[in-house]
Amino acid sequence: MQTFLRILFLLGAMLWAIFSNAQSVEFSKDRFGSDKDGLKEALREIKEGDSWYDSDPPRYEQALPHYLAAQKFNPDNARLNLRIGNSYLHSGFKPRALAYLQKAVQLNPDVDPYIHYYLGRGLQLNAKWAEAIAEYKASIPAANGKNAPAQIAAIQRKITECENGRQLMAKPVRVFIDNAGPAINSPYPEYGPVISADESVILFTSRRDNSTGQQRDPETGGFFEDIYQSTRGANGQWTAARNLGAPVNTDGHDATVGLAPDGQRMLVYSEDNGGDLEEADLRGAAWRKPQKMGGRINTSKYHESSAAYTPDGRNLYFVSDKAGGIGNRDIYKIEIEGRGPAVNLGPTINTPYGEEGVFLHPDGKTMYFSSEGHNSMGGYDIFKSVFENGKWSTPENLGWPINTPDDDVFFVISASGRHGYYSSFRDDGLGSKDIYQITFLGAEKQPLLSQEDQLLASRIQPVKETLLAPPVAIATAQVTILKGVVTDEASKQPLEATIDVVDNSRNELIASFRSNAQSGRYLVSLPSGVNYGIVVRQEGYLFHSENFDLPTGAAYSEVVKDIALKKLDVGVKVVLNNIFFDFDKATLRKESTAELERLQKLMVETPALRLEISGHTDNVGKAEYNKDLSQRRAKAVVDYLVAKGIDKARLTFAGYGDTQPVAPNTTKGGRQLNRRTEFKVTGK
Amino acid sequence: MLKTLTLTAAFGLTVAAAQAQVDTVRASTLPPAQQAEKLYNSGVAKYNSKSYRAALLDFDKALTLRPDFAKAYYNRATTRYELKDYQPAVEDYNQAIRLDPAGFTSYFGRAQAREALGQTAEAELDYGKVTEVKPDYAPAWYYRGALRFEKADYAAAKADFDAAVKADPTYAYAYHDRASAERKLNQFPAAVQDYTKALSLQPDLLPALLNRAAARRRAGDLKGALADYNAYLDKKTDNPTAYTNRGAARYEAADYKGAVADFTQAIQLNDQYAFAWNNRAAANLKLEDYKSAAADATKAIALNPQYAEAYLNRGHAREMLRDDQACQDWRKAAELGLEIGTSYAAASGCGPE
Repeated sequence: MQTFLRILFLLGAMLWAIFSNAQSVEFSKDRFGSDKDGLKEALREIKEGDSWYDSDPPRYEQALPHYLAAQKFNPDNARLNLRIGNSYLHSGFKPRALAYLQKAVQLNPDVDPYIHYYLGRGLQLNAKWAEAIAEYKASIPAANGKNAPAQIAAIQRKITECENGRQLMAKPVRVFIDNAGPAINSPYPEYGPVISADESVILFTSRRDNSTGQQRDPETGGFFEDIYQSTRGANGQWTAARNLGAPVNTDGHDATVGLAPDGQRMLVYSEDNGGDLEEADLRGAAWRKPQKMGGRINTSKYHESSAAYTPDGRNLYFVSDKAGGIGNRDIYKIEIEGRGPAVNLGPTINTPYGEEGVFLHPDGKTMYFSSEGHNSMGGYDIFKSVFENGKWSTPENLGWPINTPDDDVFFVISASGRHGYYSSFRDDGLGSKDIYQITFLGAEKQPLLSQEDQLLASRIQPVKETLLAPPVAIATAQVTILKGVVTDEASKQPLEATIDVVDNSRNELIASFRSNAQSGRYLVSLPSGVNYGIVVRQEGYLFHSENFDLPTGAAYSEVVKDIALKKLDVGVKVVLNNIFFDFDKATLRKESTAELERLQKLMVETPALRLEISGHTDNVGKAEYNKDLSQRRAKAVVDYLVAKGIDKARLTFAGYGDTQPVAPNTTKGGRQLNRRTEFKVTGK
Repeated sequence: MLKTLTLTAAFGLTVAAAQAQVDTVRASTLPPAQQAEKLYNSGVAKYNSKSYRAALLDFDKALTLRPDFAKAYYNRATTRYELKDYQPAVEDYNQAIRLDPAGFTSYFGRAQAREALGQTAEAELDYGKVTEVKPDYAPAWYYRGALRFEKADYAAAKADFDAAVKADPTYAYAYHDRASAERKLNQFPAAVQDYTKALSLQPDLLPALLNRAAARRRAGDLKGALADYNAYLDKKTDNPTAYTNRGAARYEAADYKGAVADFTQAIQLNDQYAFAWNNRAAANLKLEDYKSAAADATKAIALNPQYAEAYLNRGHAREMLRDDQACQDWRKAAELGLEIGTSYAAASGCGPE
């Protein structure tokens, strides 16, 4: 009991000491007379800090180091603590504000009429939702003057954000958030990562000391922005990022905001005209000089900031604060080659608050963007919406801990949906803002328990049961990434070629891409739900066709297909992968039309060309039957071409049954390859 | 235990009748038929003193003297059953039935012998015959119900148990097993009621507590389930299965620390009990102690290399430990029948196999 009383007494004494000493200590000779030099230096730092803090607009980040220096000398001054707290509130490391603000109010409860609001901010930024709400509520009486209604509305919005945060934090999403590492990040700011769909290339913006021109921005004191690039090495790690150099990077600010899924086109932000969007192409290994995106996208006085291509490359989603929107920055969509104006995505997506950092998933229907509205937990949060049945779904907050009470913007995600990238200020960073990789773990994978019971009284053997309902299958991204290298079959050299993506059912060209002139690499995103014909063509070569029939809901997959184009020579054979027949019949299905038209076009464009069309089967069924079926099918193709005006004399047909397999008939895949229609050049 | 009781009861009737005859004859100069009866009675006495081999010799001799002695066949069959000579037992029952087709005991005995031989379809038919000949003989319904339960025909099993308790309303086992059938038919409140009835008839039928707990869990009454597990463990503390099952109930109640304590207790009682290791892995996963979870699942797999759930759980743990072998584990689980493993591997960027 005595011990208890002693502890109680000591606790009381400590509390008394804390509160009785909670008084602001002035930077005065009375207090620091014994260290005149130190006092002088501290006052000088405060003065310097104040000059930044009180400038218009205030330069909080420049003020901070000076204030912190003075704080070392005297940590107990209410005004200084308040100013450090406020400077942190406007810096990258906002959560650090709280300790200083709390100390300021402890040293002097009347340090600032808006102290409750500042405390609310500090608490919110530290995800202390309930305490933040209490401070915000306490800050309402301080609102005054003609701006009072606006101030109160802003406070109410903050309270709502805290409520959102409380709900979102209660159900955290399962992710790993990892610093992208020293190959990407530096002690200087890195942000705005953009990736190719297969995560083989990353581009980002950095303000590091080896920037082009190596000049500092007089406004902020940091180096000018430049764009950097890194690729995945053979070990799966990022290679050391390199500055893209001229002509993309200039002495001024150069920032990347978007990259086409195949990594062959980049979107760049320029400061011109209050903020414009530009576009640059990759030619071989070199990026060409970015070009303005034109008056349908850019405005002369408004801010066009971020943008993203749709996976077919035909449309652009971009952010602008131009007049006529729903409020602040909004997301618009425009057909790049079209004539129509940009269309505001409407109130499901855009809010009276800011929207920013738009990104389109390669599945062509899922959009990621940041917004200060919706159920943000503070600043910009990242949201996801899916375009289905002609409309956007209600945006879904990606949740804690991806989103934080501070700004979370410029998020991109891989085609597989497994990895996202964004930038953030975190304590494990290499300094300043860094790029982070998010690994999505999906819903919690439920463990399975086993137990057994002796269910029959007369039996000794227990019965085993697995407890809990079996978990459900996981939804993955519904897109197939097809990539590879196009080469010349004879020389084996990489080839620049056109890759047409055709919807076979509609006989409609969806998109065209070019393989890289130097590497021959190509990448196309094929959202599920279409029977795709992929045609690789280049002048002087016979076209190559591939088929990808991806039913609705087909799960994510990545297919690597290297394609060797053949020159038009006698004896050369080409498989027509997009010719389809009814089962067990020689009737051409309508999905074959695009391929047949290509073949017809080839014959028209090359008048001397003579072809043998041949049919082939696998070894299932009787050989004679197979031979007959394959011959009838080959004839059906010839008949089609003749009906379209091709001279009969230029065409022959043959049915080879299963006599010319291109793969072993022992597997399902092999048999599928063997069932084919092909042509052979017999004269040119 | 019940089986022995039933047999002795059936047997008792036969012995009483035989002894009545013995009283009327002399021992010295007996005709062969009476000599056979004497040997028969001697066999019965030896059987009752559990001298089965000696009893068998007496019945053999009795049958040599009197080949149409149905009761001797019956008793020799029963003796052979005790000696686990099931096939010869079946043959003796065949003879007994041939000589006395109206009786039911030989059918019942043959059913039991056939069941022991794994001839469950034939056994079911024999029990069925007994229910026709003597519908008020509860054990026939009960045992046929058990066979039907084992072939997962729970509705038919329940019907048999219904008849068993109708024939004998004090039949604790029949109530117990009907409860188990109801549990399998997702009739959890009825199951709870029948387990309760079984317990009231036979308070030492402790497995009924464990089973009632399981039924209560499935009925959503976690609290009641935990009370049953506690009641069981108050009486019997050496059963690792009981600790494992209470652990699973605690897990379901999100009491993961309590669950770990129970699984640990089960492991202390039997460190070869793979379920306890696997379940502790699951609880450790929930406690985000991924290292322990992986180690526990590894132990479960060492004890049972075909343990799909343990592979799946270890996959989860390894994912959180950022160990790429998670992919292998999920795929192995899929290979062992938990197809979800394939989805986990695909969704976690495991890449091609």
